[in-house]
Amino acid sequence: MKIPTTLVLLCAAAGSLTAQTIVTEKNCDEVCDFVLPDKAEQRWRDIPWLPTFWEGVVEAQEEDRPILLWAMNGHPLALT
Amino acid sequence: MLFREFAQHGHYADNFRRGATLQGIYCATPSGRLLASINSNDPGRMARMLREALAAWEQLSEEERLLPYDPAERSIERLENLYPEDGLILRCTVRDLPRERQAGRDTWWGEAWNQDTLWIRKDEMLAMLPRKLSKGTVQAWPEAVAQRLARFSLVDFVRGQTVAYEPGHIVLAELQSEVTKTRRGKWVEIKISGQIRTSTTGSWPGEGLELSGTPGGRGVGVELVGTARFDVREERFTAFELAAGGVRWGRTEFNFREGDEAPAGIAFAITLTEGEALDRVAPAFLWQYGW
Repeated sequence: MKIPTTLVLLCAAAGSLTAQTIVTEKNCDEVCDFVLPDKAEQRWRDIPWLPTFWEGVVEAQEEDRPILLWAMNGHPLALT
Repeated sequence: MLFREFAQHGHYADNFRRGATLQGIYCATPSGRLLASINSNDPGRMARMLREALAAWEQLSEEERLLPYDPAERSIERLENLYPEDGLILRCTVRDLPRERQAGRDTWWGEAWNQDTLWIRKDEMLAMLPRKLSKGTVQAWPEAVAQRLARFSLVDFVRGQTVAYEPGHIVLAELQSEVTKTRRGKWVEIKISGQIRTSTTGSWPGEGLELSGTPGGRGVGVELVGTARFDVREERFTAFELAAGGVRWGRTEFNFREGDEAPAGIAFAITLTEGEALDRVAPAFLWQYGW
C-alpha cells in the first residue's frame, strides 16, 4: 500500500491538533500533553501492582494475604 | 505452574482444556488455590468477585492458604530478568489524534489510549549520543534502537493488542540526536528528530475470531520530535520527551479497528518511566527483541 503522505499536513498552530497534525518543534509539547493520560486515567496506578506473578506469590506468602492477578493477552498494562 | 493450578478451575476452565486463552482477573492463595475469578471490566461484577474471593479466603486454614516452602528462595527464569537496570526505560503512550468523524466515537473507542514500555540497553543508549558531547554535534541512533521503536512501539495498539512489524515491513526508521546545550562534564541537552514508516500488504483478519481476511494492509507513518537531558556523570537520562505523530491505517485481529481501516491520525508520547515497580513490566514484544 502506498503511504498516504498527502494526509500528513502541517498543523496551523498550537492548540489545534487534528487528525492531520504533523509533529514539529513548535507543537511537540502539545502533542505529548494531548497523548499522556491525566490523573483520572492514571488511577489504576494507585494500586501497588507488582510486575510479575511470582513477586506477588512471594509477597502474599510473607504477608499471608491473597493474590490478585490481572492476566491479559497482549500487554498487561494495555487495553486488550 | 502455580498459575495453571488455579486457572484450570477458573472462569475459562473450558479454555484450559482446549488450550485457549486464560485471560482474566484471578484471586488465588499463595499455595495455588483458586478463590474466585472473572474476565470482565464491569466494576460491579469485579467487586462481587473480590468479595467472594475474600469470603473463600476466610474459610481456609493457614496450611491451605500458604506454600509449604519459602517462594523467595526459588528464582524463576523469566524475560523480565533482562530488565536493563543501567539502561534507558521508556514508556510509549498512544492515542488517536482528534477527528470529526470517528467510528465508535461515542463508545470507549473515542477516549481510548494505551501504553507499553520500551527497553534500551546501556550500550545502545550511549550510542544514541554523539561521542563528542559539544553543541551542534549530531548522532544517528543505532539501527537496532530505531528498528525496535518502529517494530514494537509505534504500532496501532490504541484500542487493544496488536502484532509487531517484521523487519521487512520497515520502510524508513531514522532518528538522530543533536546536542543543543551543554554544561561541561555535568549534562547535555539534546534535540531528537526522525521519521518512521512501516507498511505491510496482505489480508486483514475477519471479524472476531475469524481468520479469513479482506484484502488490505496496515502501516504507520510518523514524524518524531523531542528533547532530552543526559547526565554525563551518572550516565543516564534525567529527562526524555519524544512526540510522534502522523497516520496509521489498516488493522490486526484484535486491535478493534473493524470499519476504521482508512488512514487516520495517531500520536505517541515516549517518556521516561518513574522507576516504580510497575515500570518493570516487560515490553509487550520483549520476546521478539532478540536479547
